[in-house]
Amino acid sequence: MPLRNHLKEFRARLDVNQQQMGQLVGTSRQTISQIERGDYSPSVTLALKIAKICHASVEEIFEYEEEENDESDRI
Amino acid sequence: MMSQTEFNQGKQSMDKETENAMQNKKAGKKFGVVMVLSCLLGLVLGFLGSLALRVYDTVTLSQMLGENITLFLACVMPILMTVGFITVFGFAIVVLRKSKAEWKQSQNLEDDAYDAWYEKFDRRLTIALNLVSFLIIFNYFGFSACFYGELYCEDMVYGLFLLGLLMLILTIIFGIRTQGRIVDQVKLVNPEKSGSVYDMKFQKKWIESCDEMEQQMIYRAAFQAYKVTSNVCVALWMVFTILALIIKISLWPVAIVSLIWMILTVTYAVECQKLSRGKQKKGEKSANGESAGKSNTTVVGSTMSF
Repeated sequence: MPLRNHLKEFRARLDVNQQQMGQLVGTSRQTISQIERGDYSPSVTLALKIAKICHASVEEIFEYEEEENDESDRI
Repeated sequence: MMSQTEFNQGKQSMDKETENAMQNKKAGKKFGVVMVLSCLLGLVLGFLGSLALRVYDTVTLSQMLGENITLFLACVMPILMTVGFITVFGFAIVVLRKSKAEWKQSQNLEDDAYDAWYEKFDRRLTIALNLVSFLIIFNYFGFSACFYGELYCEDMVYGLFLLGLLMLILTIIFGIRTQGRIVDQVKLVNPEKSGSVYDMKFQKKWIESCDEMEQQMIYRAAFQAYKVTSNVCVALWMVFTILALIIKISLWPVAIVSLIWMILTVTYAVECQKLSRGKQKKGEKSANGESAGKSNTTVVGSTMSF
């Protein structure tokens, strides 16, 4: 999974559960859960909303990891 | 003289052409084999069909089959409709009660335990909802069989036709009610969801209340349905065309399949065009330094879609 995240840690710092986090950023609880598990990569808009709520930058929460077989490596 | 940019563009274009040719060549071999095999199959079936034409009187055969099958279905379907009605709605009631009881207990669960519970809850309700939807379509067909039997079969029992009619009415009433209860249950667990199944604009309101991940899931599922339906249309067209060699079926089945196929293809193409134009406009706005607007429709998801 190329997109890793630290949402769970940032959510713990805010002391909110997934349901409350979902309400804060305008998504369902399941979406927060899937983001935390790395099963879902949020859109730029949602990533920015999450960053704003967590008082952090997008890069602090989400990390892009280049895959070994990445297309860009071959070019 | 050719500039460096023009030279690079020409080189890129040539590379792309070579790549296209290689891809076509690679896929073309497989495609050719499939086409040859399909032609051979068509040839065999056509030959068998022509043999059948010599052996049977297709008109008599089709009339005999048509009447017997219609009478058989007209008599059997009301019973199957009743069995389906009791089974599906019985299952749906059990699922709804169980889900409601479990939901109250799930409030205090930790994240991982809640995820596991939600997955089970989601799966159960999806099965119930799909069974109800399937039963509604099945009973629509069942009623048509009863109706045809009543119209064209002398031996049809009138009581069975009435039972078919009653089952259709009950299925529609209970179907909408059960779908409503399932939606209410989902709304209970996901408070951000809105819309009532009794509202004419339910689908629009429901999708609007879904977040980007859920919307993405709905669009993906819809595309899969489009792909499967397109393939089924091709298969049905072939089946009906070959069947005409053996049984004298009218042109109606092929016409209906072709109509559905056309509507599907045209709707898809028109929607693609509309979306493509919308995207271009957003792109133009962005290029001018303006906001691209609400265009956050990316990524994947799972949960209930109605």
